[in-house]
Amino acid sequence: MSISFRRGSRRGARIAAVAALAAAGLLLAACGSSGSGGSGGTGSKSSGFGSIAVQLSWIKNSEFAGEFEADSKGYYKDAGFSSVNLLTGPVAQEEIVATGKAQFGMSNAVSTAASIVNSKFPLKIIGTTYQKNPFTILSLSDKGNIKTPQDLIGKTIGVQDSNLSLFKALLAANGIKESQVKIVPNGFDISPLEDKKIDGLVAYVTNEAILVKDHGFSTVNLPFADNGLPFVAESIMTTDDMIKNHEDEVEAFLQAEIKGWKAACADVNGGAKLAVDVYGKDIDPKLELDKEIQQAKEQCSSLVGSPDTTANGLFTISPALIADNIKSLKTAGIDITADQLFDMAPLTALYAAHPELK
Amino acid sequence: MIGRPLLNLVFVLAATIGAWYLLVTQTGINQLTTRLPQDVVKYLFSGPDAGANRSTVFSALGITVRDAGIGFVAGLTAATLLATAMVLFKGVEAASMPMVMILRTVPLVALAPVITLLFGNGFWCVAVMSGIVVLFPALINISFGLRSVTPQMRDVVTVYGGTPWDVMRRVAYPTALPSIFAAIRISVPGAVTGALIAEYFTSSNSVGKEVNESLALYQFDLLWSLIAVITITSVLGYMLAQLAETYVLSRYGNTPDRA
Repeated sequence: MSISFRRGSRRGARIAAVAALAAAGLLLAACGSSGSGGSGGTGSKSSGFGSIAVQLSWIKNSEFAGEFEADSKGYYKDAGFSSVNLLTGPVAQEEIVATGKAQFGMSNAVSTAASIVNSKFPLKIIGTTYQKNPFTILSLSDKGNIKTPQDLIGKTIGVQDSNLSLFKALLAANGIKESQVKIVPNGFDISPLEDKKIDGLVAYVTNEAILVKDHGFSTVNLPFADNGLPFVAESIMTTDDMIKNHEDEVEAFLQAEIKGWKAACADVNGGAKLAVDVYGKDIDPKLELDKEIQQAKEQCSSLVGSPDTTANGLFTISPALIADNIKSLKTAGIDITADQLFDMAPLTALYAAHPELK
Repeated sequence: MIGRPLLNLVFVLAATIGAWYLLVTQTGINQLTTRLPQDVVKYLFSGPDAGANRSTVFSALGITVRDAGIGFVAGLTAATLLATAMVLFKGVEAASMPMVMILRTVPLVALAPVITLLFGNGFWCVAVMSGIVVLFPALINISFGLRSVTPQMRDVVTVYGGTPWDVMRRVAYPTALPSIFAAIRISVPGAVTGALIAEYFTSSNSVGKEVNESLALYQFDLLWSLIAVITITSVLGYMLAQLAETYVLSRYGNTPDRA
């Protein structure tokens, strides 16, 4: 029954480990794995960046259809990378990238902004797969039936600790007091929702929402993005150093990503199959092809593409969207400027040099 | 009488801070995620938002201390009652040990969903989870203590017409005092650990909860401060138990058990 217990924004497993470690005291530092990993992209030659590592934000399901396509169709190789090691999430992606264990990572604007503001991580978002985040309050039509933010009042909502501040931001953005909602701790387990023990659950439109629906329930979504928190997710981040000293490598990576996601959205079945049969074949419990296809379809139609990307190309974050992100972050209690969080120069330069990518 | 625990306290704190420095500076861990003692002091006392930071950290600490207290009392009470029953009635041990073993052997994190299902996300959840961590070592220590009554002492009470309960009350409990205090001492950090695990499943703004939230938001200053204060609190609690032990045992004419 419990299929999706992994995801924090999104790092449940690590959090459980740390809860125990906190008691043990100061050993926390030992958490970070040793070794430099991902034998870095130091090449500044026009071709041959060597091998790199990319930290994904979740298990290898069709959420990364574009990355799987880019790898299997050889777009990464064409762009000059001898190999690309896709690292399974969720972990603290910002930490992995900032400490050099991966050259690029997927995360969302809230997480990345928090790492910059709270701990001065030298990171920037350089593009985004999802134009809007897939966070939602998932409920059942015959139980919570949460269609509008006002419906949250008086309800019991399951919230992961890692998403607590995000949920509080949703309440703040809609003028609801914390005391008007009952928050109960919940992992990413969907069974409390299906057993009707809770009215709503913080979830992903593209994941849990589809799972619960497939189990035969009539579901209702309250997407964060449409209710005051339109920040980007599955956004690509890298270090300031990469942008400054290896811009050609950053552009090459973005080029392969764009090609990969074009392929993934042109053939949603292909990307889903790659997830189920190749990249995510070791996942337990096994990925279901039907659900992965639905997810691939859903993300391409409502999250990856937008009028902005049609006009300016995939991964674009328009100035208006950047402003929306900064506003969302402020609601979530994170004060950051656009220049501190976003650097769209590499993507702009890439599209200028290769207009055919649009 | 106070000298030795105080000396211990200074030693423990010095050793902890020394180990902290060594771990952070000598193991080559990336400095982005680590903080040194002076960073924590700055965050809590001299930095720009020190006041607000202190209130976050110490209100969380207050809740966790309360939770640990609940678990401490629940675990020790259960252990004492069970140990007494085990010594008085032979059958109790055979009947209860398998259950205690289950609680001890199955990781608490794995048992947690069942516990929250049975007891909800509130007071009883904390009492049971934190109590479970305390129970086993306390039970073993206390029942060992209760059993260390010499046959001669038992005979004296019996000869004067005393019941097994009289043996328990007049001889076994006083005899077991060193063991009971040993149990109390190890229960202090145990209760804190149990409380932190339980707080993963409750909804108050406790240390366990704040640790998770601060990790999600990369608030490493807050994270390290929380870890520092909960560690110090745990050490202080242990020292306090040791003080009480020294005081009580000297009144009963025992030499403190320094096992």
